[in-house]
Amino acid sequence: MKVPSSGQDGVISGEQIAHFRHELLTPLNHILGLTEIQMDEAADTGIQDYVPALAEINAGGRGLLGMIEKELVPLSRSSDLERLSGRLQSEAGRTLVQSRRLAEQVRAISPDAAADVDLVSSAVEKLISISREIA
Amino acid sequence: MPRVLLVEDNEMNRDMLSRRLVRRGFQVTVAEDGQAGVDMAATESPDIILMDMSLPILDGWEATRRLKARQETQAIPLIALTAHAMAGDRDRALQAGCDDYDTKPIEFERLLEKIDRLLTANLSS
Repeated sequence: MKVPSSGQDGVISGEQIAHFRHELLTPLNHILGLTEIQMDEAADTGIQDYVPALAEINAGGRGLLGMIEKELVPLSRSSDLERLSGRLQSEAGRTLVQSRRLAEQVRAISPDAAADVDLVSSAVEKLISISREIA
Repeated sequence: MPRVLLVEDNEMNRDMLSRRLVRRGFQVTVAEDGQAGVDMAATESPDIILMDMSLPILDGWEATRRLKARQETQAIPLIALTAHAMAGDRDRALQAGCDDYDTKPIEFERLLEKIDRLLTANLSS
């Protein structure tokens, strides 16, 4: 993603922020949707014991969503955006560790569930990469 | 079994929502752009349409206007889905002819309530 250049004095336009928000929300939708699907289907796939781990990853996604909606949207200075980018990367990094670990835990029980959790990890990686690019 | 036409260009969003709807007893057909959505609504006559508004070829706003202008599709309830929870978007969606509006990330239970409400209203009208 090519980041539109900032204006004078590191001021970021509302249009740029809306663009960043849209870019970040796409992988975030995948993180939330896939973890919720796996929680719904846990009884069928046999991974009921891992529902708390899925809920934790989902909560991590919700936390990131809160940061995007409450902290990114009102931003107007590039220095603030840099700080937020660092925090998004750090929070998402924690979620990535959890999703990678969960995928390995459930792989022997349900390859299908593990494949979905792998997709969650890919979405978190994408979100980290976008967060890095916007700073 | 209620039939849903899901118009969404993002493959993973489309697959996720389809899976969840099928699990709840809906029959789902999908279209990947606004023009395909307009065409499929006419040929498939779904019970309800879920329309992403950021679509290629024909965006969701224009696709909705066309669906609501055509006699054979205007009575099909339509819910707009958008990632832009910006001020005025809800009014814009309703003005374009959408029967309801929801934002992404999708809160699935909330969306189901909206679908049920529109399907029930359409049955009784």
